[in-house]
Amino acid sequence: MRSARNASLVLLFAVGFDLLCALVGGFSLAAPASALTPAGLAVRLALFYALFALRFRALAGPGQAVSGAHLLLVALLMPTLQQFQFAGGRTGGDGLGYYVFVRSLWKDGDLHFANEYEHYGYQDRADMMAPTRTGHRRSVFSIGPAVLWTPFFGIGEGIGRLHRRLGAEVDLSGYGAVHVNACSLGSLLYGFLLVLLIHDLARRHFAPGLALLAALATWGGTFLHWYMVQHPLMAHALSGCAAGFVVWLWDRQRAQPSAWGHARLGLALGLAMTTRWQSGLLLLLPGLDLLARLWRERAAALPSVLRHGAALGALVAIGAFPQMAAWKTLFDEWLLTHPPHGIGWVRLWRPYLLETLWSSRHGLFAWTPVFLPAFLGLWPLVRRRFALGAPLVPIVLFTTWVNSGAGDWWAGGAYSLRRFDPLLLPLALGLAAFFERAQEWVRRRPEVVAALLLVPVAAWSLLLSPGDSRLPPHFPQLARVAWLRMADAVGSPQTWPASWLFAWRTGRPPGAYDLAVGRYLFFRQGNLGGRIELGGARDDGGLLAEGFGPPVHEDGAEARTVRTRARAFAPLDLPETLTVRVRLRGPASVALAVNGHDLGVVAVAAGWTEASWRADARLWRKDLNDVVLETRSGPVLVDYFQFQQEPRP
Amino acid sequence: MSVALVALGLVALGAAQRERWRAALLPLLLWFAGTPLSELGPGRFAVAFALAAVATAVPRLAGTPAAVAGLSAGVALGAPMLREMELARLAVGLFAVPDGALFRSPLLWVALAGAFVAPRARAATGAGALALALAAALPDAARSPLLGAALGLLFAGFAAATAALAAALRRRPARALGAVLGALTLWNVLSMESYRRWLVPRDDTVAFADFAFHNAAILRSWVGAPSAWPANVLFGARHGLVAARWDRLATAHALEPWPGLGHEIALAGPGFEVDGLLDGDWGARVPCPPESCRNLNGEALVYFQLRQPTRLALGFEARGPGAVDVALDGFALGRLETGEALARHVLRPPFPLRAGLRRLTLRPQGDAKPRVSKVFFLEER
Repeated sequence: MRSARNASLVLLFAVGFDLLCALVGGFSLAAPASALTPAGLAVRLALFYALFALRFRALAGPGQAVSGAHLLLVALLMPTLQQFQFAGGRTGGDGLGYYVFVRSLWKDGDLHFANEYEHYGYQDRADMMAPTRTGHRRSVFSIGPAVLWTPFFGIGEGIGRLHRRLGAEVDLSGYGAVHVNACSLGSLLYGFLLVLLIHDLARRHFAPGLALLAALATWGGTFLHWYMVQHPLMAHALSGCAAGFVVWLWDRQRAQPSAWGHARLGLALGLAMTTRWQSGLLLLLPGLDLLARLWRERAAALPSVLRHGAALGALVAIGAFPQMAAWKTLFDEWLLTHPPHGIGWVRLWRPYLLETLWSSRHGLFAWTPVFLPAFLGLWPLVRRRFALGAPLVPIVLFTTWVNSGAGDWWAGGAYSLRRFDPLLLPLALGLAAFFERAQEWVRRRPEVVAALLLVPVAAWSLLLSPGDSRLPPHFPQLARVAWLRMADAVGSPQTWPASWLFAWRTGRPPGAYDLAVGRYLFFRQGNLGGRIELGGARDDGGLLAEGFGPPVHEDGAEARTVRTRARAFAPLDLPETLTVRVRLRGPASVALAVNGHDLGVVAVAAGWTEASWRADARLWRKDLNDVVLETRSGPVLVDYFQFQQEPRP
Repeated sequence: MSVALVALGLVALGAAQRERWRAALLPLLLWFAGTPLSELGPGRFAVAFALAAVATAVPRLAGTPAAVAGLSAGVALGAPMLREMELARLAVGLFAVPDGALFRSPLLWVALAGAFVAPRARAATGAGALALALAAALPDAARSPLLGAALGLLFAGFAAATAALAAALRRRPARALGAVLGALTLWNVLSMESYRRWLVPRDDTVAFADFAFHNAAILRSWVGAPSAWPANVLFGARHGLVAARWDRLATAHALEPWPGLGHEIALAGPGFEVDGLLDGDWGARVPCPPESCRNLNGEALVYFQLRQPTRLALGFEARGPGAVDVALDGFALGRLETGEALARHVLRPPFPLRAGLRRLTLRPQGDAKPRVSKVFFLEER
């Protein structure tokens, strides 16, 4: 038995190393000159998994076998690796911003990013190329990912050198595939580690089945998988793992607090903070514990609380030191007083809470609905496991508040709201608590739940039945038709209740919420440039309420007809004085009103002309504004609404 | 009409169910929403409810002289239809997109499952399934009186299946959570794929109806439309095509009115009407006044179905100098010269075309890339 164990372990390592070469270098030790095929990788993954199951399940000693849940999670990792290799992404988006740290540190031995920026084609980005006070180039990214990637960067270097020895031409500059793949693989594995941490922590407090469900839901139902496989060079899988490790460690050591335990926790916290700065909120966890102990035991606890607090603080500082050193190097400051993005980047006093959670522009619940039960589950979590849940609630709430106050609350080109990554583990616990509560409800009302489970099936039929005899023989089109009918009637389910609130405020169908909320005339990147187009390639039809005809092509313009009265939405971040210019074709007399305030009547000629009105800041409000165009003498064609800001001093 | 009838039906069912009517209320509402009950005329609707009430309230009816007599009468009435029933028409009647009974009302699957989970519902569900099959195999299933009878009888199976589901959930509540979690995960996986393919905007608002469209398209490309299982999968396997093609091809019968193809296929028509019919090297839509066309870039295929063996002339309308080889199911029919002007070109196969799926192949000669606006069918008498 022992020799079988040893033999299977040796084989496991051998296949594992070959797999590593395949994933990082794209070659196999068996045939280093040939490119790896999907079938070849699939065979290696299957073999690796079989050996893993053999060694750690079938041949494991008494009490040492891995659980069925772990076996399942590792099994799911195998197709993930296959997808990572052949359908996954690598660089892109903010990923390069993080990657330049690790490349510059280990290849150049500095934090001068000028060469990296030039290599990646950022020469024209003044915001990145302009030298800082210390003569370095700016970076708005954290250094933590580089710290976490360092072992993988080293593995990439080693495998690259090995492949070169075997006769291949390998780019070892740090820009090549081998290093990028290795760091990307690192992110994937950190993401998987987070799934294991979730499972382990949830199993401490919940039934095994619920723990597994929570882990699987976090992996498959949220943005985690995306950032493990498609954008692994962004910080989110790493940050989720680092923050999750802090929570896991905190829960593990709190029953028997020690200076050593607080030191470990402090180091993990510091590292998490360097990966995503807002993870600093996790300091609340040990902080609240220390305060609670002091409150309970008064003076008797003072010495140990001071000792533990000092250990915690010292190791947080050490863990966070790489970031402080990076800021000192780049900006000549140990601690930045505001984010490097700029002073107004985070506006805590003006949060976009509803949009952050429900907007179709990456709203957390709208894009990843599994987070809604996770949030709801915090309530039963606190009620039933106060010691675990209560300290997590302020962290979830503060993080949500901070994210909704971020400059671009929608997180740019993101898959769902990626900035919630530090909350993946706390919310998984919320999910487990929700499942636990839901199970009881299912037991009490199984008939109702059975009916509820069948509602979507019945809805499919209900939504496709009425009327239309020319429904297309095309499943995707039918899905769209069904969804549109549902959205018109009750809104898209994942936008509830925000879309209902929108419908109540604007008098529009709740389905109109999807396209109307989350865009701005002037605010941040990807704004409308002050213009609402009424047709053409960029048709902003989502911002039109009622009264506009369908787009038509007239005299070289894509326009819409207004016969009497039409309403559009002007989405603003700030109320400010604006000139509204509307390109029209009459002849007609046209009046404009903003939020019910008349701005006057303008006579419009027969040809295309631009009519303009000036609206004082007092007439506007934050978010959606009603702009009503009324024609007093016949229909007009409208090409666009152009909103113009007053010159700022 | 519907509200009054539903109320009437509820009262009838409640009376028949006595103390169990409350348990039947939710299934009944679902059944009303999720099947074409509301589309039946008042008479058939009443029959459906009466049958539902009898079938669910008196499960021991099976095996009694009354049931045997009823079944015998049903078989006697249905026997001629059974003889006429064609498998292909049955598959279309049950699974066609969008009008197949099971495609449009997947709750019927749940009802059919009732026969397996509840012995007492077996007789009624079996009779309902038979009535449904007979109705589906008829040319105009929606108007068949059999459909009302089927929906009435199948309700017994549906009520039994929902009761069994509720009992299973009481024992293993995690299954309900697993189902919801599975659905959310599937949605997320499909959304990631839509996002990866840049089908939805990356930094802008998005209509979730568009998300649903793209997610459904991806799901269909992977495994076919779930509500058309297993017909689409079997169809794909039989003809060597992806299951997604079932959506359009199932009802793409030449010479028949919509959703049949009528006498011609406008190749540059709306995507959902023609994309499933075309394969091979068709180009994008291009104008060729007064029509719209597609470039014939290389060997390109057009699929169509025939209900029965038919003597048919085939042709296409094209412009652009060149020559096009035409074949049907791999059998060369001939070569047609195309000219500068948009004109019709016809070939007459020397044999009647077989029923079923047919494959027309057009292959341009040399570097010519004629623009083709239509493929048409002329019935030869």
